[in-house]
Amino acid sequence: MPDWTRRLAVALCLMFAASSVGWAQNGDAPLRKNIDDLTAAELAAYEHAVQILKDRNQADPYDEEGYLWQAWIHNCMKIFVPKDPSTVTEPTPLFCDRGEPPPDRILANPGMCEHGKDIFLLWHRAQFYYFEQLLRATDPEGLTGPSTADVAVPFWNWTRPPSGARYPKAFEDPTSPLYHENRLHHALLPEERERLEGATSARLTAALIYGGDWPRFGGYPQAHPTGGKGEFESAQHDLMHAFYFGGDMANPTTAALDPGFWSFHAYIDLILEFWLRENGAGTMTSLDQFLRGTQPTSITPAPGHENAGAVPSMGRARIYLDTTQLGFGFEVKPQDRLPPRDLIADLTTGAVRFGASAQSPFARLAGDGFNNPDLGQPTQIAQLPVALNADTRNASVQFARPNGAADVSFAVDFYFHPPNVTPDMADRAFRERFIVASRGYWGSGQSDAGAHAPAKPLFLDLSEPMQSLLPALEGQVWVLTAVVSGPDVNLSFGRLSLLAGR
Amino acid sequence: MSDPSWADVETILQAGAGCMNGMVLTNDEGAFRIYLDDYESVVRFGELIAVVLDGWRRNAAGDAWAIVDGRPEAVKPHAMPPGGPLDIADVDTVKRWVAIGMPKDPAQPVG
Repeated sequence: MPDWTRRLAVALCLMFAASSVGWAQNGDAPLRKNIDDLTAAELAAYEHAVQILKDRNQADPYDEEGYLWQAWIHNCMKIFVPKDPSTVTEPTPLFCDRGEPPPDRILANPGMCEHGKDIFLLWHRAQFYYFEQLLRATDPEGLTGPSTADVAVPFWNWTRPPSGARYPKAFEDPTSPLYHENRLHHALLPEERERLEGATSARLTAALIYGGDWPRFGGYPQAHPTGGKGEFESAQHDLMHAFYFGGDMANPTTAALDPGFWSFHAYIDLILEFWLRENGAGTMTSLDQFLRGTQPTSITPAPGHENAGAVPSMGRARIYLDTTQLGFGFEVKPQDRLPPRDLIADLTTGAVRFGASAQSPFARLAGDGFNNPDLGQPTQIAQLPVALNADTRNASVQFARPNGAADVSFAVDFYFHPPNVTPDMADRAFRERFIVASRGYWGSGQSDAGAHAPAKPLFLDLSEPMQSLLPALEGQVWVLTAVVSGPDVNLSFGRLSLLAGR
Repeated sequence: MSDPSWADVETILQAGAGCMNGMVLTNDEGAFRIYLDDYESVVRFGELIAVVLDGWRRNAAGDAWAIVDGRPEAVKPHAMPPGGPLDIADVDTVKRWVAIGMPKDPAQPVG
């Protein structure tokens, strides 16, 4: 290495090290670091802890301190635990149970990730609180390997190119407990990189956070009439699960069987922390709601935890707001931070006007959509005329699956264009100019979807393009075109309808 | 039309008991198993039950489910039950029961 290159590298390392100090909270607390920045010893300690959790399942698949139970907490509302494990001969199910338990088993409720709601992000932070305590307690003395006393889940910044062929190198070592057979393994293809540009866009995440609109970013209360997923969950989290990882991660019920789940979501937890630092918790909703999860009683609950109700829970959402109270911090280097606010403002405001500029605000943040015309024509294009007037100024649109459809994952790109412009998906100029947003839905793939109902609609807020188009184009009727992508979509996949407002 | 009683609502919810009974729901009071054939359990989550049962598109008059491509259409993110809406009159009965305070017997209103 030339001397100037070495000096530059040293200078950058010093700069990164110095700039990460501000994020190290609660001096003695374990820090979540970028998995690619772990020392060999730190990675070995994390792997050792994960392996111990997995090994516990060899002795007892239903051990609450084992890996399988922790995976079930993510999305298993019912598990029928044998009253006498010695009599069990059939393999332990990786999926959840349904209905009533047979006489030789008792009902247990591991947990349920709160997808499609405003407690989505805090639920996962709560799950991590217990999971990390469990990891640290596996071998703190280092009796069978490296000490796990200071282990924290390392995050994978999936908005950056992976250090391995598709994932962090640490996930791709077949000898590592972080390796998982049932996930996509091929190197990230150029066409995948392009279609996932929005899902992996740090700019899109940053725009949602700097926008300061909590429900738009983080989700709506369960009883909200047109609520559900926030845009981060739908446009980024869901598409990553379904189309980047695939395999077990493509199904909410089995997602956490893949150890990559934890590092993927550790970065999402850092994104929540970015929100809290930018906006605080003042506009967050449902903070008093209790979070579902039956965690090991050996773990001391988070400060402020109350035993309330008839079954165990992880406590109220609000006790998970403060990482210092929870006893962990993040080591965040500049490349893992949000893009700066002024860059996002330059991309989305000022001279950038939807419909007039060559690139829409969304395109400037996140590309021209999930559909890749190089991979063939989209399966469905649904269209809806929308009059530009005061009544539709704050309109939103619903994309709904027919009831009874299989619960498959899919993506929808929404384009809004004048009626005399024919949508041409092969025309990049069309896509970049008129794309409003991309949305994803992470389904189980099951035809009988249970709690993950296939009928869950997606919503699109049209107010931002409307504000660009009105009042200058008042009276015109534009067309909203929805392009649906996914391996299992068909011609009657879903339909669009206009809602007065949200 | 007389106000609905718990007996009316229990009959309506019975179809979902096999799937939902034993599931855990939470609110600001804590975490609880839901049993659709248990009065106290249903009262605890009555407002939420009414919202999700009414999560399907209605016709213009509001007195029937709109049928789109031969099927009803969910318009709320957590519409229940997943297999399709209950009879709309039954959903309106549940909503009415919730609106009047979820009495066990309407002749003896709660609270």
